Amino acid sequence: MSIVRKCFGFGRMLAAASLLVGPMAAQAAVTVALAASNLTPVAGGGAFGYTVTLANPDAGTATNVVMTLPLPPGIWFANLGVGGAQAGAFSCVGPGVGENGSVVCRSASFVAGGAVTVDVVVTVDADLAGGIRTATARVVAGGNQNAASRQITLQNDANSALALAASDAAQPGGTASLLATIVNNGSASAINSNFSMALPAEVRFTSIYGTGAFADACSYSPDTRVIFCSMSRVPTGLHQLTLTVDVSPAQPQGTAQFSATLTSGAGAVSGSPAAASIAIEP
Amino acid sequence: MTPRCKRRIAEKLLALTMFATSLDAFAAVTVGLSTSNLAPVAGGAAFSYTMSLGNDALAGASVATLVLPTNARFIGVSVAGADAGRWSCEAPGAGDNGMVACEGGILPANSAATVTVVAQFDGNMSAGVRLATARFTASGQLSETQLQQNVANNASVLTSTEEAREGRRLYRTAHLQVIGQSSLISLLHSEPLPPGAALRFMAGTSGFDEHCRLDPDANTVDCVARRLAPGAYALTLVVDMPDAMFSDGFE
Repeated sequence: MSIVRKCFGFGRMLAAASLLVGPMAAQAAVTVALAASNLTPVAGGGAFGYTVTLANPDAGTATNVVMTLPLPPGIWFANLGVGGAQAGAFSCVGPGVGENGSVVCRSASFVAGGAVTVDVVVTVDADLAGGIRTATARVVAGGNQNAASRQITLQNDANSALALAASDAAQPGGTASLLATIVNNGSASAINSNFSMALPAEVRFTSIYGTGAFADACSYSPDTRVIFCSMSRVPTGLHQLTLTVDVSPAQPQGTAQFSATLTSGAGAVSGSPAAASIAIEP
Repeated sequence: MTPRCKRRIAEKLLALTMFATSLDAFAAVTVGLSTSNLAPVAGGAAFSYTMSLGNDALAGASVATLVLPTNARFIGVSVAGADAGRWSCEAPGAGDNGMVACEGGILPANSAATVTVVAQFDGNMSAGVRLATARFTASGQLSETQLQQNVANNASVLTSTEEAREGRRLYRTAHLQVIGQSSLISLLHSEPLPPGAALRFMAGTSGFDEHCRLDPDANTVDCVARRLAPGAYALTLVVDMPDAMFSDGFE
C-alpha cells in the first residue's frame, strides 16, 4: 500500500484494481416496470400488449443487462418492438408466433440515465375459462436484479345459443330426424358444456351424428332414454347434432314433443330449454 | 510519476493479473440437483428441481443448464441466493419439454445461487424411470449431475353397462371411467353381441369409438386404446336382434 500511496493514492489504486476485476465491482442497477394495455382481456379476443420499461438511473453504465419476461400460461406471443433512445443497445427474441415462452432482451452496455421500452404483443388462448394471470419481468445487470409483476384478469365471453328443429311429420313405423344447433357468438370457447335431451315414448333411438363440439361428445342411455353430450369446449361458431329416431309402428296419431337443455361451466347460454315437435300422422 | 513508481505499479498490476487469472483458470465449479418429489405421478401435482450452483474462486462465462427428463413439462423457473442477480434464465414455453439455460457471466468466489425449476410429468406416460441432468460450466470447468425419479402411473378404470330392448332392437351403452391423474395405458375392452345380432350403429364419446371395431367372426365389438386420459367415456351400440327372437312393434 505504501508504494501505491506514494505513487497514486488509494483512489487511484481502486481504479487500477477495477480494471482487473471490473466485472466484479458494484455496477449500475437497472430498474424495470411492467404495464399491460388491457387488464381484462378476452379469451380468443383481440391482441393486447405488455410494456416493459427498463431504466438505468445510476451514474454508471450497466453492463450485461438481461431482461426476461416469461409469458403466463395461455398467453401467446405475437410480436415485439423496442423503443426509446437506447433501443439500439438492446436485442430481443421471443417465442414463435402463437406460442407460449419467454421474451429475452440483452444489452452489453446500457448507458447511465438510459431508458428503453419493450412492447410485447400477445393474444389469449380462446379455450380458457377465465381467471387471473400474472406476468413477471425480471432484469439482471452487474449482479443486481429487479423484478416487476402485472396481473390481468381473463374474461370468457362465450355466448351459446341453443336451437332445436325437427321433421314436420312422420308416419308410424317411419323415420324422423331432429337437428340440435349450438351457435357460439363469443370470442372465447364455452367451457364444460352439457347438452341433454330425453326421447319421448313415441319414438326410439336410431343414431346420432355430431359436428364441431358435438362430434365424439354424445351417448345414449338405454335406461333413461336420454341423449347426453359432454363438451369440454365449444369454440366460436356452429355446432350441430343430428338425431335419427324411429316412430313406433303402433303409434296412434299425435305429436312427439322434444325438449333439450344446455348448460355451460363458463360462458353464457341462451335458448335453453329448446323445444321441437314431430306430428305423427298415418 | 517517476520511472521507479511506474515500474513498481506495473509489477503490482502484473501480480494482480496473475492472481486473478490463476483463480479463474482453476476455479472449481459444483452443481447439486435435488427434487421435491422422487416419485411423482404422471399427470399429478407439480414438483420442483433445485440446482445449487457453487464456485470456489472467481469464474467467468458461467452457464448452468437443466435438461428436463422426457415427458416432463416446464411450468416455471426462479433464481434465489445472494448472487441471484447475476443469473438470467431462459426456459421452454409453459407446458413444453426442453432445457432451462441460465447464464451467470462472471461470478465472484464462493458465489451462491439456486435455480428452482417447477415441472410436471405428462399424464400420458407409462410408469418408468426418468433422469434429469444439471450441468454447470464456468471458466472451462464442468460439473454435471443427474437425478433419477421413478414416475408412477395411477390410472385405473371402472366399467358399467346399461342395456335395454325395444322390439327387435337392443341398446347397450358401456361406460368407462378412467380414474386417477394419469392416462390409462393399453386398454382392451370387448362388447360381445348376442348370437345372430347385427350391429346397426355405434358411437363413442371423446373419440372412444375410433378405437373400436366389429369382429364379424366373433360378433364382438373390440376396443383397443393405446391411452385414455382421465375422464368418462361411453360407447353406445344399437343392435338389431334376429327375427326369431323378437317381433317388432316397440313391444
